[in-house]
Amino acid sequence: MTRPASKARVALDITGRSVLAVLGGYAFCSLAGVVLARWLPMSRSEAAITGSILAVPIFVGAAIWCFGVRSAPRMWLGASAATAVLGALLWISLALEPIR
Amino acid sequence: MIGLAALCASFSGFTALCLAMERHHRDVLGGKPTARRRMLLKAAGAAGVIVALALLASARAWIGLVEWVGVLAAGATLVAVVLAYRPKAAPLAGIIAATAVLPVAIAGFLAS
Amino acid sequence: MKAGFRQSMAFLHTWSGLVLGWLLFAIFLTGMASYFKAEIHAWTRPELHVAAQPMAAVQRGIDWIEKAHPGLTSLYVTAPTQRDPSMQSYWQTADGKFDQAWLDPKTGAPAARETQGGEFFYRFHYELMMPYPWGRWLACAAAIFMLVAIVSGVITHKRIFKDFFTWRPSKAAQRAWLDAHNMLGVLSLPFHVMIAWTGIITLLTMAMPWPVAANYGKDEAAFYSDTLGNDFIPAAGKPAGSAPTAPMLAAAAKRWGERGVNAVTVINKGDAASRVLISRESNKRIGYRPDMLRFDGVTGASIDGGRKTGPALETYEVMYGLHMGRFSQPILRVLYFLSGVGGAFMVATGLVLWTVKRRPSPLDGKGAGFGHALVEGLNAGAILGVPTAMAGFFWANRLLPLGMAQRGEWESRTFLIVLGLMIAFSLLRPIRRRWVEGAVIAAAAFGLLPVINALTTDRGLIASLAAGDWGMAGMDLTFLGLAGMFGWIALRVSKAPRGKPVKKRNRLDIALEGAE
Repeated sequence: MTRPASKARVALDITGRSVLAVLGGYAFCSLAGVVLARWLPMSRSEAAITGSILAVPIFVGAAIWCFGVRSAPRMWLGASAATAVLGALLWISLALEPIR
Repeated sequence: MIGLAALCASFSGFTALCLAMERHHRDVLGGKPTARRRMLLKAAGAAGVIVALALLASARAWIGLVEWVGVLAAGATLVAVVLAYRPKAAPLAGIIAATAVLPVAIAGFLAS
Repeated sequence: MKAGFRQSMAFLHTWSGLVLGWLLFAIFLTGMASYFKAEIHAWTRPELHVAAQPMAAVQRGIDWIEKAHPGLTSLYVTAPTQRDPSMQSYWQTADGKFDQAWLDPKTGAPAARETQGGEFFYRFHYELMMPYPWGRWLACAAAIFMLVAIVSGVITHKRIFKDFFTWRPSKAAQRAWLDAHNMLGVLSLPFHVMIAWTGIITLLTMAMPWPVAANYGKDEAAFYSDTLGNDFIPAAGKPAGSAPTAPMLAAAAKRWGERGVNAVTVINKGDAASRVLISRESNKRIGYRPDMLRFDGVTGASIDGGRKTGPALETYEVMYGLHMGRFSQPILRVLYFLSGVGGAFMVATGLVLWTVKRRPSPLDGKGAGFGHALVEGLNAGAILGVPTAMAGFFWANRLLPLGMAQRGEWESRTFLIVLGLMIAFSLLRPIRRRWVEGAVIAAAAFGLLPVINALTTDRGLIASLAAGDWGMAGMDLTFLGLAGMFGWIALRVSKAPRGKPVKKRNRLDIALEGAE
């Protein structure tokens, strides 16, 4: 896009990225932590701790990505795809072994 | 004491690494460093960093590793401060620190 | 594409740093103070002296608590140390309520001077004087914002290696501020990444409970017994006698040394499932898990612990331990402290840089916007106000009457009152003056503390130097050092160049002139 974006459009873009980075970022890193906890080949306490610890850099990475990705539509698409993959992994693990 | 020796090693190492950079070499010593000098300075810098690690790791194992990171930060900061206020004094300061490493380290090992 | 990415990272760095910058500054400063929590405990309770026999003191404390609160269900007492003569203690009464006090090692009763001491700064650091859990969540948010600011800062800093040692304080203001900000950020980069990440780790069970919930469902207790072992067993509901604790303390002292004991915990007192846990004072390892001696609370017999371990748990403990820095012998504690100072200056230079860069020139024909003026005022208010408020806490500690009701609370309130006053003051004064005057106030606030100390107690600087009491003397000397630093800042800002010949003036000079 070579024409300068209007102020309103820029504001909307930044707001969208910020909301996804903060709220979506937290949701995504929690989901990632849960998937790690359920899939890592360790005892359940060990896997849970690992997932929790790694959730932090995952959050940071997601937030950085939200602002680095070229356009808002691309961002929503990518976020949805990644969440869908993690969601599928979680669903499979729940099917294999429900939470006791 | 060993911490002080490690700090000296870190400071002298970072001084060398700093002078290996063209901009700082020009400000402090004048002129571009030759390829050979750059290699020597970088080697001296690496040596300082490694000696600091060796001293702290041998004295305090894993905690020494944490101290090493701190000592590197402190040494690099001191170099930046020297460079900002007394750049011409940097080479001499680095040499004095380098020569202090061995005696201070020995004193430290004897004391512990 | 690369330029676009760097630019968006620059934007992200600026805003993730600014939004919670003032809060981060306060968290940094109180965190730094927390590394000297023991010394602050000692300074704020000048009536207490180092206990010659810590185990006897602990027993006196246990006796006092039990006598004053018959029917209590659990208690916790820390041993006095050479750095901190007070004994922090908690207890839980039969109705489930918790209470706490700091006990005098000589009598076992609460110390005469009611104060939070070092605990004030420590709790502020992660609770921000806000009700649970909001303060902790805000502190976590600040840490995440800090990590995002760090990563985006590194990405956007093109010349990160070239400018590694570059600091040109004599250059034009904006360049000098930027150099300082970059240098402070880069040189302590490992420390900052570590401290932010491990800070969240200390609050992990609150901030990231989902993985545990996913693996344990409703049976959260199983996770705690898998990791912490089975020390905190529930009460059996059957009354039973209590074995004396003195022999247990003696056994611990025999094993670890008289000063090797950290704290005693008694749970389920008066119940058949009573336990006495004695933890070890340990600065020998990074991981935050003390050695423990366990005793049956009824019989006094020694019990084995049931702790499991694993690489993830040990990693968690090491990360926790790195943040707490309890293992750090003097040199490392000073390095931690200096890194914290560097971090605080990094945040401060970033905040100032933002306003300096955007300060409008009167030649532009428009004055500062409301937003910009607000940020400028709040910058000075926070950067000068938080340290001054910390000094204010110490003033209150010395000046509030000993018998006053809620004395400890009022000391904490003094911090907020002083902070509020400094922010208001800063917003009302013109730009340059607020920095000079604010810095002078900060300098006076710290500089007069040793004087007040000497006038109101018998442990002033001269006395503590004469007695070789480096804890007390160190605090007073630090106050003097901080006063000197703020005095220097006041001097530098008041001397900042103004009115140079027209073609050489930079925007800062012009802006400052326009602001007076």
